[in-house]
Amino acid sequence: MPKLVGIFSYFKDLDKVSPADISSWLRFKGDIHILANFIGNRIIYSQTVPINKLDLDIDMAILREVIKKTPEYFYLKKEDKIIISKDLKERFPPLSKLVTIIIETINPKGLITIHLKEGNNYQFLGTLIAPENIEGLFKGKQSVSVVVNGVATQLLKNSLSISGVNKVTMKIKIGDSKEISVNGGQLGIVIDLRDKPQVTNNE
Amino acid sequence: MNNQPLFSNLRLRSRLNQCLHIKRFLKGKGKIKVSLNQEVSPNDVIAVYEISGGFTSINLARELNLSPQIADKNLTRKIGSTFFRGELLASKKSLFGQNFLTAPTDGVLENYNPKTGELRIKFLPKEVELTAGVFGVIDQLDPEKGEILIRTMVTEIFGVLGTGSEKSGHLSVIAGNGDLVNASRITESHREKIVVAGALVLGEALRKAFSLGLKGLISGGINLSDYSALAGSIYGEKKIDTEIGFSVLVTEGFGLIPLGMDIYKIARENEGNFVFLNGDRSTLILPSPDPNSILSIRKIRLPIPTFAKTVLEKEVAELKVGSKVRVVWPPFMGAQGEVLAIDQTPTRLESGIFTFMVTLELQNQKLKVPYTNVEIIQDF
Repeated sequence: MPKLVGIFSYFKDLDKVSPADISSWLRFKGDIHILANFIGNRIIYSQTVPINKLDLDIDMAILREVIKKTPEYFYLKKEDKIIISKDLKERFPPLSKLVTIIIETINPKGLITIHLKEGNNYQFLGTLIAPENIEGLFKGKQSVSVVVNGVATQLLKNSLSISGVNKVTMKIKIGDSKEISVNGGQLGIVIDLRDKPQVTNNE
Repeated sequence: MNNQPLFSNLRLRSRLNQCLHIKRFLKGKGKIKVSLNQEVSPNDVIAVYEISGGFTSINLARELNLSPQIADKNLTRKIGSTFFRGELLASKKSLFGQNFLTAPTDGVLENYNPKTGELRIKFLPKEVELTAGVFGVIDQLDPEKGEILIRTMVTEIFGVLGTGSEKSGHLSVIAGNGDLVNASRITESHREKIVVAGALVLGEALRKAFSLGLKGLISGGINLSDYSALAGSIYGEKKIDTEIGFSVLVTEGFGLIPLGMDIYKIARENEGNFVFLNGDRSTLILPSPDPNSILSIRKIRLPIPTFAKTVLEKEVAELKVGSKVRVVWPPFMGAQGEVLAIDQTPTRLESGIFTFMVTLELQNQKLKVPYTNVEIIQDF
């Protein structure tokens, strides 16, 4: 049996990730030396798991930098698919936060499907709706009406929301845009109404 | 219920009383003084060679606490003169007594820089007697390369990372296994020694160790920034024979992590003994100080050469009750103990991750950690 490794062992040059960049994602501004040593230990003991929330937050901040450097592992642009491996899902709970991190870091636009990959099998998790012309949708207002299967709600500008609807097909209409049919799943529907790529604090 | 076995990574920490080869080499032109199959003792001179050239510098102004423009007025030797180790180079009288600067080595006063206060010293060519350092038998001689292979009994220690080509010297334990070692802990008395520091050796201590001519440093932890400055990268598995002036071995990881008691205990038992440290291979070789070890060495024949093996035949093993493990993630990183129990159902950690926990019995306490956060200690 080969050596047990963790998700970070698949990303080389992790030691080139700047502790200052990691720190910028964290509410708690830790000592740069401590963050650097954390990254170092992540490399040599990649099989370990964080026990507390603070360690998980640092791991998630490292993951953001990894996604920035290697988006192709998470997002297939030509196929408009976000792929999440089972290992990644189990290592960075909850799934909604993991998906948010991927979307915030990559900023894909359009209709993107989200899938869970386990070995050679794929499970449908949900759909991301990320309109390109946000200003055109909001028309100077701060909120927009979103109708899901006939039920209306208001979403704020620059919001990124996840609704855990598990129905297979749903009809969605955002503002004056054309109604579209999308599929839900274990995750649901993600609607990204951020005008400019920016990080929403979902902590 | 979990009926599946849980596996953890194996970590090779030490091998006691192994018969293998150590290589002694001449660092300049010289002559080998031993013959094949000859038995040697640690203090036996096995070769003589000459080291020539090289420079070092001392900040005279700082040593005498004077401004760089006037510090050279206190030199007791003229620029260009030859001196020997321990001789007086400069002195300064003050209200509180007298400051002295003695020669750290044999050399020639090359020049003085009044802007920086640096006194540049050129080493004198000198003849060096190479001693065996071990009880053993000469198995191979290579006069062309200046290499001598000695079969000997050793204890091997393995760290998790390191850098620097092989260095040899007497082992000196300067701190407790949980201590932080700053520059003040490194002194002139450690010159040419291999020093066992504690839980973290700071960058200032590394720089002082380098400037004082220590042969090596062993520590539980090191800061990533200091390690990267020395080794270039953590991903340096392929680097061999990196010449950084001295050798560094880290036994646990990055940051303040107590040097594992298994290794620290062996280091304590070998204090003052002649040892070999190879940072690039993350190994410390402790030759047996027992003269009777030659009786065992005589009986063993080895393929030539047989060096310390850092690779395990198996990389993982099933975690069982009674397994000897070390914790490799905070909290309790570096702690060592035995597996007392393995949970049959997973636990949801504060981080939200589901995993199986193991109960460990340490020397003074019991603790529960995720099974992924321990490594099984493999020692022989």
